[in-house]
Amino acid sequence: MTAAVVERPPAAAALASRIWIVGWWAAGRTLVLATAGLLEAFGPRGLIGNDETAHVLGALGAWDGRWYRTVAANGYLLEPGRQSDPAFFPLYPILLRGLHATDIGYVTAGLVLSNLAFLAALALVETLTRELFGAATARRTTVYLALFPMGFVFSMEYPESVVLCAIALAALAALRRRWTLVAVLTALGTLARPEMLFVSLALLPLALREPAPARRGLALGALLAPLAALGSFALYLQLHLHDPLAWTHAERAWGRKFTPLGVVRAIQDVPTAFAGNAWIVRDVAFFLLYLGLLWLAYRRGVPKAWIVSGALIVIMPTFSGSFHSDARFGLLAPAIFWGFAGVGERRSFDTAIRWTSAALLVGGTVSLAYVFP
Amino acid sequence: MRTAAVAALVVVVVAGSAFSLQAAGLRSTPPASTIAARAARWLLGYRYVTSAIEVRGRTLDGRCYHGWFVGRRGRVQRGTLLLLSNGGFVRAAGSKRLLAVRSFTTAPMNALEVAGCTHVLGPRIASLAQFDPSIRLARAWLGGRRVNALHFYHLILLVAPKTSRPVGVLLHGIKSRIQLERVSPALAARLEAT
Repeated sequence: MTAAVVERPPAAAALASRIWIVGWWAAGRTLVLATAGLLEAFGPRGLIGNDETAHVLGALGAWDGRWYRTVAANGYLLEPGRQSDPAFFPLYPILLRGLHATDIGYVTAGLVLSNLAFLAALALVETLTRELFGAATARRTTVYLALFPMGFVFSMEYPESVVLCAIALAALAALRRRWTLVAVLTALGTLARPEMLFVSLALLPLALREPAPARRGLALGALLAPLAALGSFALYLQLHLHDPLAWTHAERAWGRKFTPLGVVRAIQDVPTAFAGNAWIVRDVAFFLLYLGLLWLAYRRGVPKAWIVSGALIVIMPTFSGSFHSDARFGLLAPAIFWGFAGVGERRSFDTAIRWTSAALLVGGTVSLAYVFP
Repeated sequence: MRTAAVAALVVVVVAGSAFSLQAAGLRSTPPASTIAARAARWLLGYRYVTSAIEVRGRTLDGRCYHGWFVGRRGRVQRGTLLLLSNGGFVRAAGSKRLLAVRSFTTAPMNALEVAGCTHVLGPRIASLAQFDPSIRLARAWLGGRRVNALHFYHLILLVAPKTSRPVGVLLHGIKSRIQLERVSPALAARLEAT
């Protein structure tokens, strides 16, 4: 009797070889979702609002999630001198609104969107990393990203997972010289988070390699697409709120105002910020960790353009005079995770990183009761 | 030259498409929210308000001031003081301290809101403008004048039709007419010494 040999089609084989990504995504998300569920059931609820406690995973819809829901439900409203929603970029609320139209609540829509987008982001980051640095680094990068201590944000009603998806896909499209797709993705990413502006810098060397003038024009246009998207947001705000810079004006109510010496102010204000809320230590610690990981990534040969892009993502927000949320902003810099993957080359380090990250991921999710990410 | 032209074309097309996406995907702000935000701005631009409060068939006059008051142990604190024509008062100073004497309602915070106290009612309206999905705009009459009525959960704010300047409040069956006024330094000093 001869055994029948069934050959899988290439697409199915490729999918099967990536099933481990789903496994790590599921492991990381189980930790986050289970912790959020326990937080809702047994507390502490801390500063989580009443709106959010009505949902079984309400902690993940808290903080900025409330603002994104407000934009989705009511559009933009600027209240000068007060915290108001133009500080929040439009793509994520547009997606929330689209999902809400299928008769699911805004919180559920946000959680489904963010968690599924994170699965796609993990697969795309793995592909990108494999093409740039090989399979072993890709695997560690993906696992560390799935378990990263601040990674609970990827499960929240926040746009980070959608933007990470756009970043990785834009980079893959740039490697394949599909500049029209790059233009679409970088524009969409910018409509979700302004960090996408810096990611374009990482793709600049690829654009400059285009030999033909028309192709190079297309490539450079694609990298300028974030500025075009930002301009379109300003135009939208001008037409609806009569203030093209409403998003920066709204940011000021959160104590953010970009100045050339903002980073000095941020450092000087750390003791005051600490007296107000000791959690600022977390953001400062991650700021330093990110810079260290970027340095390691540089030492390991990660292209300089990606290092510069990552450094801008981490450092630029401090020019607003605050370290607040820097731990979250760094999640959008792939070079940080490539540096992290380098640390985990030794097996013992790799094991320690996985377990420590998983424990801190749970702790980070619990912290949602007390502090915004 | 060709490179720049193509790049510029891409930028224009992307900007146009991105704008269209926002125009199609985002909801226009409901007029009621916009009017509420404007009303909140009016309130927060003033520190002094006078009111005529209709409660159980009689009218009480109120004067409400937001400023600095000497609190316990001589500590100067920011707060709000509502003086009523029946000799009563409601004072909110410090973070959570509320003191009411001969007020027209058992809930001191409600009294401050009905009297239109600017730095109590203002932040509440501003917050509701952002987050209350049920705000409704209707027409109403106040003292023979047509006004706009902003219906929030539990609270109705009456505003002038063109300017959105707050002119009255309805809360738990108590109605007031309010008048935002500038406060002179002499009046401010007198009220702070009260």
